[in-house]
Amino acid sequence: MTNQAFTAVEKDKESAIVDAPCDTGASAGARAQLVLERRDELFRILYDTVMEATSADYDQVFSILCRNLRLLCGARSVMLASYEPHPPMLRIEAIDFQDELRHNCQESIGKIIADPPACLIGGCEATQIQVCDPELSSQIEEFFGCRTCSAACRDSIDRYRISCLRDGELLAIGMILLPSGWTLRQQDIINAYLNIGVVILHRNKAVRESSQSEKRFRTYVEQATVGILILIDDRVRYANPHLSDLMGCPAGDLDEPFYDFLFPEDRPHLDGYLKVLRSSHQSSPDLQIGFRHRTGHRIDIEISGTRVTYTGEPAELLFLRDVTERNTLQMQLSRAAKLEAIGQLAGGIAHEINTPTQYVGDNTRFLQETFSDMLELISTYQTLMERARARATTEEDFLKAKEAAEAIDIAFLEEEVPKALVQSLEGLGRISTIVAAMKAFANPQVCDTRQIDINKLIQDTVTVSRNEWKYVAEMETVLDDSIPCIPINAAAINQAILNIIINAAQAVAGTIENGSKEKGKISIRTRCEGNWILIEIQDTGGGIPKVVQPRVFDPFFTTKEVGSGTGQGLALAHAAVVDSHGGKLTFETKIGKGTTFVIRLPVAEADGNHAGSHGEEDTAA
Amino acid sequence: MDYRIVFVDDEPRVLQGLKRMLRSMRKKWTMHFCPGASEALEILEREPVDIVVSDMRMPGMDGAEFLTEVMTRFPTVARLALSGQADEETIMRSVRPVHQYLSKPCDAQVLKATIQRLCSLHGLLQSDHLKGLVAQMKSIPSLPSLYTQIINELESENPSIKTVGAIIARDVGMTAKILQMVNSAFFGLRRRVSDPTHAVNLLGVDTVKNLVLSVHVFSSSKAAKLPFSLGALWNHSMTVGMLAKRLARAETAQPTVIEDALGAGMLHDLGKLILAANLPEKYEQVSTLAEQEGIELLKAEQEVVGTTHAELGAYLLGLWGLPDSVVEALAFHHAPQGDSSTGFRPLTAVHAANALDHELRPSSSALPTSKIDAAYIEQLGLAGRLSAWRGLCPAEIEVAGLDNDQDAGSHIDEDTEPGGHEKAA
Repeated sequence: MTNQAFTAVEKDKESAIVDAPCDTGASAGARAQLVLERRDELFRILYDTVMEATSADYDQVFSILCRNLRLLCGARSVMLASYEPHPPMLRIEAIDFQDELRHNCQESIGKIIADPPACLIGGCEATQIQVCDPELSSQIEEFFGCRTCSAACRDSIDRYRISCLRDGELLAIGMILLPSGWTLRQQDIINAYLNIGVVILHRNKAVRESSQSEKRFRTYVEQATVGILILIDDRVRYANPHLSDLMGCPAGDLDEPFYDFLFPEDRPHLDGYLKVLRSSHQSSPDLQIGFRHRTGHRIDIEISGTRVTYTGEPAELLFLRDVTERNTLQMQLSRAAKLEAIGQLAGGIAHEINTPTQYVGDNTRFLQETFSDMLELISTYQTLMERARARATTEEDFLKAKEAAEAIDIAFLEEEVPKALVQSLEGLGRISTIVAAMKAFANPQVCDTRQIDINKLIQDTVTVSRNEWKYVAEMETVLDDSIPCIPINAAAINQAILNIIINAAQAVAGTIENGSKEKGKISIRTRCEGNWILIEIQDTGGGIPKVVQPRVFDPFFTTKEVGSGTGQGLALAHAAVVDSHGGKLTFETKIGKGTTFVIRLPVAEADGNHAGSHGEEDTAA
Repeated sequence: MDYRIVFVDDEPRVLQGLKRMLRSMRKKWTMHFCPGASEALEILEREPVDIVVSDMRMPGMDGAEFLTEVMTRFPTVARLALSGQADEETIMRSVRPVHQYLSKPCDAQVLKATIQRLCSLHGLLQSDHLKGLVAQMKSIPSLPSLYTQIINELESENPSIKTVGAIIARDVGMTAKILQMVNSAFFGLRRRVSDPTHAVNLLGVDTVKNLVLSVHVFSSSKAAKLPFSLGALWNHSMTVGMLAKRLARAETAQPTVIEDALGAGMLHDLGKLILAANLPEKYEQVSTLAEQEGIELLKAEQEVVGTTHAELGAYLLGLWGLPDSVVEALAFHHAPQGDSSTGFRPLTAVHAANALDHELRPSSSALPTSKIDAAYIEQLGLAGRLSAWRGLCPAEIEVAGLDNDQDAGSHIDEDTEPGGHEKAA
């Protein structure tokens, strides 16, 4: 089919570069002249095509190719349609006519046919022009919508089919209408033209796609809801609109005085961050610093950066995220969790105070009554004494005194009064202890770190939480007196220990509910191990099931019933120990035996830097 | 009489303190001090006990469990809680098994007086069976229409405290229960209150909601299968309540007397409900006997049941810790001379209001009803006020304007409490 010979049929009217018949009567010189002119014309068309098409948009390439192809062949009409394989569809791109054949075919341009029938796109194996059988040609003509020719016109036309492929993939199909009797002797030139066309099409398509994708990425960057900033030598080379929004200034204002948006005390942080970024090949951890919004208030910005090349120069690409709200929420959350713990304790502490108050009051009332009884007895005795001095005592007087003494039951009072006094003093002592512990527990400066006696801190925590464990467990504390005071944030560590104690009490309570009515045991031990202070909190609860173990420190993870806890306790303990103090929080557990949580706190070096700026986040609540 | 009291607390020092503090009562009371519920139950099994005073939070069997067991196994025993626990959960758990709730630290005088008051109730009822029936009552049946109304209001998205108060104030059973709550230290209020609307305001809508919807302190009389229509009783109770309040207002400026008159008037026939809910056959017998013999209901009750509704009602309110003057008004509203005190009291108001209502709105049955005790009024020196009191009546009864039907509740709604539905406006 492809090599089918085109018979030469003489035709005199039309002139075309490729196949127009030559005047046989002309001289050899004139013929040579004609051939040369035709060749010039051919190159001109090729040249024009290449020049025009390469600088044109993809959309116009088809019409350029189409027009020049018609000129090249001297065809009456050329039609081209592009093909997209995913999903398969044909789109009519261009139709070109000789003037007298101009129909309303232009309306067809842009027409799309999805899932084109195999007859339209099948049999296209190379970029070439082929003779087309009448049946197929009428289908193709129908597709292009060019059926308006008269029957006579139709018969006087030969139809050729075009296919354009690149790397075996169909790019375009088309049709050429030649006046009947014309031949395509220089088919190879047309094929070469089509191949050039394919290259141009492919190139322009790639250009279009890349420009489209650039446009797309530009849109992404400009509509991104993070601030994006490109710095070269500390100067702003690009800032996206969101960044302007963040800082509250019009686009463009960011350029020079970028550093003005930083709080002065934060500038060294950013400098340091950029320095690390430039010198290191690894991505550095995110930086959180404060920016000054144009209205003056502070916004917390989290920066994550990377090294890039921008317009050929090494640059830093920074992503800036506003985390003010997130920080506020986090703070509120941790405050809420802390309040929850304190709220839980409040009822228990009230009970712890109410109980001794009850018996101190009762004992005092008893002592009051006893004293008035005693006064009565004393007055009876005094009467007896006076009568004795007057040597007027009778047996009845002695009897009266004896009865009075019996009535108030001196023996009972001798035993009970000292006990009542001792217990009352103990009760008052207990109340003072609880109040002092509560004060120590609730009062420590919000984000202060100072030398703290861990043992004292544990005792206070045990005291305030007494009501949480005393019904379910005995408490044993083995505290090593030799451990040093260390600079910690007492509030945070208090909270951590409290949460673990409450957790232990609940674990023990769980086993009691499960049948064994015996009280469990919670033991707290402290000791020193190298440069660490260890706090072990051991319970005789049910242990932590294996499936749950990895999630123990996850925030909001709880095995308790909905409503009995937010699941924040151990997560907060972890944050306090690990994040704020550079410590470790681990646990060992045995099902049915119990769990031991171990807090390790570093014995701080001279600078005591462990509870640095991060600590504030956890404990600011 | 020697009363037997058992104290339970897991804290030995509290027990010893109580023991010492109550030593002065040792001649009047036989006291046992137990470190736990099981020891207390042993004593209860061994010997008769009149009152238990228990801590709420204890290891092993806690106070709520212990008192619930006492309620079922030893129903005649009065149950008192003495607790330092203030959390809502503990309180809600103890609402049902506890007659009165005292909070630690509790003043020695208050504890003694509370026990003393419970002791003095014993004279009201002779029969242990009746004591048990009354002491086991957790709720008093309510008028079904009012019960539906209160449930609907409390289940609504935004219950109005005003509407809730208005509904409760119209129901005998709800009024009694809400006054028990507010006069106890359950919610840390410990106020002397006998006006149900005031009580609802003090408790707050959330607590009332919790009590009604979760703890079910109210119940509908439909469930109780009462042998008679409640409409007439409610009609009479409301009228006597309002009339007693009006009489009290005419005679005194003391707000507690006026409030108690209202509360006691509303609740004066509570005993009839107790009887009808627990002993419906006997209640039938009482009516039949009264009609056959043409005697006062009170006499018929005495004959059939062995006591009167006045005593039953007073006994329950006494157990529940309502103010003394309300208990007294209930106990003696038919025989005010049984009370030895003098001067115009809530009892006077309730007695007169009850008699006047019977006098001015004779019931369809021809049974003799209680009359004003002229000698009593005379003795108080108030005989001259009687006509003035009568003058106060018609308007009041007209305002109440109730029909004797089951749906009385809805009528009250429209007629007397235009404010009740303010929320909808």
